[in-house]
Amino acid sequence: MAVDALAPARPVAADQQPAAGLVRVVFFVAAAAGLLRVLAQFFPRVVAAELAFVSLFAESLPFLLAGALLANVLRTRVGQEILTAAARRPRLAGALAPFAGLGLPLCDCGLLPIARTMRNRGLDRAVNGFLSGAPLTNPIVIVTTWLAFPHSPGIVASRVGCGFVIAAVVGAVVAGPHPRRLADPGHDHDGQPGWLGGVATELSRTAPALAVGAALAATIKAAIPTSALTSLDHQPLLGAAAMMLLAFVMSICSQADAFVAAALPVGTLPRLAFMVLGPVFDLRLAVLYRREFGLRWVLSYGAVVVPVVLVAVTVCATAGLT
Amino acid sequence: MNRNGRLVAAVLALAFGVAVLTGRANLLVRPWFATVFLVSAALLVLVAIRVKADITPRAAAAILLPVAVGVTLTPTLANHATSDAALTTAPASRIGDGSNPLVAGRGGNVTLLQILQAEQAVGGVLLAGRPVQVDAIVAGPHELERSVIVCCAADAQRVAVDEEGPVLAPKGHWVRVTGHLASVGTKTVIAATTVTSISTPADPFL
Repeated sequence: MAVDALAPARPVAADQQPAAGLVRVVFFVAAAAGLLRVLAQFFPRVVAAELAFVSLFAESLPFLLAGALLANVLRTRVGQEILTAAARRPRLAGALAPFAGLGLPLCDCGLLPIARTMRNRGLDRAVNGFLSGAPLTNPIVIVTTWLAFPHSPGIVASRVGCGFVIAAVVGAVVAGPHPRRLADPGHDHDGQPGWLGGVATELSRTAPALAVGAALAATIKAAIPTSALTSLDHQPLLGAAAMMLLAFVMSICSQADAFVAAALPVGTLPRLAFMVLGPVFDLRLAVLYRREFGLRWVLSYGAVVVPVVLVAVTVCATAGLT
Repeated sequence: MNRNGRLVAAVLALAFGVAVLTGRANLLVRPWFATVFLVSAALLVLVAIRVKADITPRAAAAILLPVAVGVTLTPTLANHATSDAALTTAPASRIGDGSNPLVAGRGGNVTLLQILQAEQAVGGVLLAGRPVQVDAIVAGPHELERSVIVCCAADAQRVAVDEEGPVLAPKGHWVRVTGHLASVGTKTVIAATTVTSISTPADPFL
């Protein structure tokens, strides 16, 4: 299931989908859920994985749909003019991309539909800056970080500042995702409302990958106890790397991770590393990005993001900015 | 959407709606997120009714699997949301948290999280003597715990408070403890006067 769900979407005509296909879907889903229930009787960690799987999917899907709705703005006349102007000045567009997060009250997965629209218009470099910067510069992240660390404005500033630094480096170093002009998801063949068409496309195209990403993250998180990683805090850099691994695996929403970080029994540097990497690159996002932009782009993106995050947060912590 | 696509959208909408109406959403996310679920359900209903798009059977299966798993989950399973040890630092006040009666100088029906947050805010000595009633899971002969979520069950963390007084029910059982707060060394504990077993609440997470 996972492989096919992540493969490039192939249109399937209604007449090619017999009722047997639907029966197979229902049978598979029921059997898988039943099998998990049985396994949970013997392995309590399966319950933790189940809860994490369902909750990650249920919590992320609304933001994905909201992102699809917001991406419709880019299909309006004003949006098209902005994209056209940006395509004429790709370097400037790449530099300004992380600032777009300031006007987007969305979590990290909600940014994907917007990034896809940018990519389809040839703004491939801007996509890099957008995906690596906007998740840390958006108002939800800023406000929740402030609420979680009310007496540490340096933490808030460092988190946002790291977003701009990471976006600059990723935008300069990583090749943009391969431009691929797809059918406009906002266009509906029967003349139905285009803004709903974008949501439907997101549901059929990205939601399966979201389910696979949530399942992977939930499974690995259940297998690795958080305490095994937090215990590495005796050495700050090692602790930071461990917390980045935890953030990658947990794949929790960027509107919540600051509260989780605040309660982790680790120092400031590992906490900041946890909060900076998570919204920019986690397992759930890696699966979504792989689905959309390809494995090669995800690997090159991750290979740059991870060390840059570690360096950026270390500089912030050692310079006393936190 | 084609027939399968419309069905998937409709089932997801139904799942979001039913989860909120039955309280099952409390097993997955914080209560304030119910509004987001309802808005999503409304949007998905519109998609199911008005839009045509394609979806492969396997993609449909991937989307519907979390729904099917969610149907099988029950509040009693929330005890297993995390296998990690209890936090030593209580999470900060979260979005949607009301005022903490203990910080405001009162007592009454409180949560373990509110006790720990109040201890961090005003210190255990000031809390000593306050009458409290808490619902919690038994973690040991004299230890109570609850799982706390910030956003969804994937970020579940344990908080624990010691109890003084009657030996609690067997580990994993839900109890309602009535008594008052006491300060023992650097820790705030609940000096219990009564401990009664209760059934698993519909909203097992704090």
